[in-house]
Formats: sequence, structure tokens, C-alpha cells
Amino acid sequence: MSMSQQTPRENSQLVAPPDSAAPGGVRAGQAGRSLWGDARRRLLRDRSSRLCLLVITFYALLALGGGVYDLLAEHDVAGIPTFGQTADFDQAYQPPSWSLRNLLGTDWSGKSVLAKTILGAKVSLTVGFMANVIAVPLGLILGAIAGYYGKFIDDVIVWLYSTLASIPGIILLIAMKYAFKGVKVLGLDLTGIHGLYIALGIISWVGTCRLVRAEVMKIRELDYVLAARATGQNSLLILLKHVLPNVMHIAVINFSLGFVGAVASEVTLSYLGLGVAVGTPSWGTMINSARMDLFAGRWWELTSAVGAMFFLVLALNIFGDRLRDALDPRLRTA
Amino acid sequence: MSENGDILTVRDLKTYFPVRGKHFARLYVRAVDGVSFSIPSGATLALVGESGSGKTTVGRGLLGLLPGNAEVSGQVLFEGRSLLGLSHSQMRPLRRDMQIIFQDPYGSLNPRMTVGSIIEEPMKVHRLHGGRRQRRQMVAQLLGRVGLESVHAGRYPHEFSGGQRQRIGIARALASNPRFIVCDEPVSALDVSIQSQILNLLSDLQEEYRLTYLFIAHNLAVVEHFADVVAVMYLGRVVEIAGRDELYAHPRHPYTQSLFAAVPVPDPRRRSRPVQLEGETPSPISPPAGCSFHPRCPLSREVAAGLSDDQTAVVDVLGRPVRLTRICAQSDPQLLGLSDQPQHCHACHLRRQ
Repeated sequence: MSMSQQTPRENSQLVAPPDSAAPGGVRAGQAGRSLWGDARRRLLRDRSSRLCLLVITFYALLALGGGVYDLLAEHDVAGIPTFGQTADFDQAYQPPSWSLRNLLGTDWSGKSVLAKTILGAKVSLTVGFMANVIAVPLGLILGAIAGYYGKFIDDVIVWLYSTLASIPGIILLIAMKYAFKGVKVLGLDLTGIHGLYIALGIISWVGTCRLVRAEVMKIRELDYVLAARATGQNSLLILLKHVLPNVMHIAVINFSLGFVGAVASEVTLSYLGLGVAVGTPSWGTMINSARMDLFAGRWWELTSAVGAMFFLVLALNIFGDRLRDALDPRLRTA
Repeated sequence: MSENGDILTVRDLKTYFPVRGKHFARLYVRAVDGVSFSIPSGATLALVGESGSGKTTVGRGLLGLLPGNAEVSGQVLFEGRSLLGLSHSQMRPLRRDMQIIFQDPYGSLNPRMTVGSIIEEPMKVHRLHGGRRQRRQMVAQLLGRVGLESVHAGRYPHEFSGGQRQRIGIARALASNPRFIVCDEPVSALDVSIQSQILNLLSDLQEEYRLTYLFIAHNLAVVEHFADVVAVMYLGRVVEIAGRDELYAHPRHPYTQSLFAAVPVPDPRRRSRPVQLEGETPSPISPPAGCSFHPRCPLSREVAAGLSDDQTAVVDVLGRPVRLTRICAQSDPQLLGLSDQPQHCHACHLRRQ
């Protein structure tokens, strides 16, 4: 039969093109390259995305260190003072100088601005992470259901996010923060930072939901979904196995880009006095407390907070962009 | 055609898609408008027509794969059981016996799944071949059968060429061991050199597994070596249906004849073709009255030239007045058998006399 003679020739096309060859050369092994693996390789080949990943990791380590410090100080291990206890009014408003404590100067109560900035990273990163942990899965699930099932369910979800999107985000955030005042759910006090996570999560799922819904509506009509329907697969499994994996890249990209929005919102809210609890060091509270200092020529606290935020946001933005380049099949140059 | 021995019988199948017209008027796209045929077990019926003739809608309608807004009526009998109106759960056991192969080898395989799990899926859905290891064995066997290797099971679709992907699609269709397969233009997107390989594979598989095919194509040349019966569709209707040899030897309907004229002939001296159609397929939202082919029909013009005024009508075609036979513009032709060849049916007024 002619078929068997033809196959070896077709097989030769299976050899990977040289530019995408994995380290160690062309593999003759069993496993194929998944699109995820491909995307990871593409992402890590790019120098700017490696640099951004390094910056983000650095911030994450700072935040982790800040968390460990808080924990140790709270339980009074080895006499470590809590951040509040480091106040020293004799040292108030010292400009930056060459000592570890005063490297970035001190604030009105004589606390180290460097320490404050590092501890602020913890708040910003946890807020960014937690808000997205709530928002992205919510947007993904609602978008997928709306796009796949359509009709009435779609109408309800579209109505929901259109309504939500028509209210200015910051006003909704402020309203929710006031509404959460004194509310306790499952032992979590929503007045402080937990309420912030939830409020930010509630306002920021809309973007993910829109994108996912549109993409799912397109994928729903593709032949491989029809093929799955033709085999008699039930619709929930089609959604999970055939549709969701093909929109997952949108969730990953939005997680990274959504971080930026959440970090910025935390700063705005803390500046307005509605963010983290009073006394918690965060970049927003730093900007808030330093807003009168600038007139007196005390620039260091504001600069530290803004600078710390600048590099994190820049790194997250570029990384999110690179992630999109690596993951979005439409941007691929095959 | 006889009722016995037919695996699939379609009677007066209609599929309308509602669309919104001006001022919220409810209009319908009549994608399929009264199609009847039956396919004997183990045979191949080819459905041929231009894009927009409704052939794909027929194929998908049989398997219940149309979008939710489609309005389907008529009768579809698969091994004597009526398929239309079945719920999803009633349809599921029947889906084991009916499968589909798609046109686009790129869009028909999920890019995030390995080839092995793509082929395995129908076996899982219908709980065939027991455990995981037996399924794996079965996948390897199927891959071998369609001309791939068992190591390919771990690879992803984007690592394969168009022809290889089509083989994977065929393996998936075979996985549930079906009896009837809708081949929806399975070779239209492939290179000519690969087309014949895939066609050969399909016909080998048909013999081996005693498969029945509904083979959809837009090209009579592809069908010639493959089909037992050929049905030509135009604007949602079958205009001619006959055994392959009969149809290729004596095409009766002017539309069929123009399709034959459109088949390229590898002969540089034969440049010009005698019959060529003007214009495009009319809109299936408002198909022409009478015979839906009349505005483009070369035969009607030819005949009208020799008829008196009371037997002709002047019809506006693409902004130009054209004299056509009155009967074609006014009366709906029936799909009827020839007196000497009852198996050969066509729907043309002018070829009756």
C-alpha cells in the first residue's frame, strides 16, 4: 500500500525548527512540546523578561522578609522591636545619610524610611496577589460560562459586568470600604486589609471576564469543540477540557497586568486613608503622610515610596507584555 | 430507493436559521430546503455543490451539531431510528456509531491536547476498551492504521503537517468504532499530492471497517473515484442525484453540467470552456421564485431564444433584462426520476420533454 511508503517522508517535517530547539539539541524522545512549554522557553529566551522576573522576585523576597520580620517582632523573639517601637523623635526628619538606618532618611517620628519602604512592599504585593486571586478566577469562570452557554446566562453576566463597569472604580472602592467597616466574615475583619482584597477583587474581574467571554464565543464554534460534541462528550467536560485550556493564557496575562492596577489602587486608597489600618507601613500611607513634607523640602519619604512603586510597576508591566507575546497564539510568528 | 439495507434515510430535511432583517422583521436563511436521500450500508454518497449550497449544514444537521438557533424539520432515520428531536442523553449512545471528519486540519484538533488524548476521548466518553493501558494500545493501533506511528501519541497537533493532522482527525473518528462517517470536505484544504493519499486511506478504511460515508465536496473531480451515488446541491436543494457512472456519463441538470465544465482539464490547448456560470449563488434568505437556478441558467436562455413571447418571461439578472423560459421563472421543479432510469433524478423543467 502506498500509504506506508509515504509516512517516513512526512515524518521528516516533525523535526523541530532550529530556532526553537531545546538545550541539548533536537530530541528524539516520546513527549511532544506543549504550547505551555513552548511559551515558557520563548519567555525565558528574552532578556528583558528575565530581568523583569528578577526584579519581581526581588520584591517578592523583600515582602517575604518583611513578613518574617513582622512575625518575629510580634512574638517578641530575641527582643526584636516592632516597627512602631523603632520610633525615635530625636531622629525625626533626618535626610538620607550613609548609615543603614538612615540610608533613605527618617520620617516624622524618626522611623527608618528604608525599613518602611521594604515593609510597604509586603502590603503592596499581598494586595496585588490577593486581589487577583479573587478577580482572575472569577472573571475566567463567569466569562467562560457566559461565552459557552450564551442566551439567558450570558445576558445576566453581561448585565452584571456592564453595570459594575459603569460605576467609576475608585468611587465603588470607597463605597465598599465604608460598607465593610466593622463587618466580620469567618473571623476576618473586613475593615482593614482583608476588605481591601475583596473590594479590589470585586471591581477588577470585569476585564478578564470580557476578554474570556469573547474568546470562548469564538472557540465554541471551532471544529475541535464540534468534534468533542460529536463524540457525545458532555458540555461541562467540553468546557473544562477543550475551551478553558485555550483561554488560560488570557487569565495568566491578566493576572500579571492586574497586579499593577491593584498595587496602584492600594496606594490611592491608603493615601485617602481608606486602605490599610493606621500604622501599617505601606507605600500609600507613606505618600499620604509625606504630602505636607515636600513643601518643607523633605523629599525622601515620598521619593522612596514612589521609586519603589515605579520599578515594581514597570517590571510587572513589561513582564505582562512579554507574557502576552509568549502565550497569545495570535501574536505568534510561526 | 429501497428502505431495506439503507443505514441512513433523510426525508424532506429543512434547516432554517433565523436572522433579523430591517425593522426587526424575522427572516430565515434557508440553508437546507427540503433534501431527501438515503445511503445503503457500506456505500458512499457524495454531496456536491458550491459554497453556500447547504451541504455542510446537511452533514452537521444529521449529527445534531448545528448551533442552537437552527430550526430543523423533516425526518432523519439512522438504522430505522429517528434522530431529530432526540435529547442530548438520548443521542449519546448513537454518537458512537456516527462520526465526522472536518475540512480544516488546523481547527479540528485541540492545540492543548496531545494526539493520544485527542484520539482517546471518544473511547473514554463511551467507556470502550476498559482501562487506560488498553486504550493506549488501541490509540497506538489506530495511529498505525492511519499511517502514523505510536510515538506520535505524545506529541501535540502543531507538530504535524496538514496531511498528518487529517490522519489524526480520521483516527479520532474511528476511535469509537463507528458505522457511519460524515466526511466534511476532508481533502479540500490539503495539497493535491496529499489529497489522493487521504482519499486512498479513506477508501481502504471503508473496506476494512465496512463504513458508510456521507462525503461532502465542492469538486466533482475528487468524488469521481470515491462515491457510489452523487447528489448535486444548489441553494439548499438537491437538483440532481444519480449513481456515479450514470451522472458522470449523462449529467442532465444544467447546474451539474456547469460543475463539470468547471473541473480543470490538464490540457493546455483547451483554454476556453463552453459553459460558464454568471454571477453568484443567490441569497438563501430570499431564493428566486420558480427554479432557484433560473437567473443563472444557460439552458433556459438558450431555449427561450427559440420560443414565442407567451412562453418566455423577461427577468432582471444583475441589473440586466434577460429573456428566460416562463416555466423556469414561475414554477417550482420537482426532483423526479427519468422514465428509463428511475435511479437518476433531476429537477429541471426543460430536460423533461
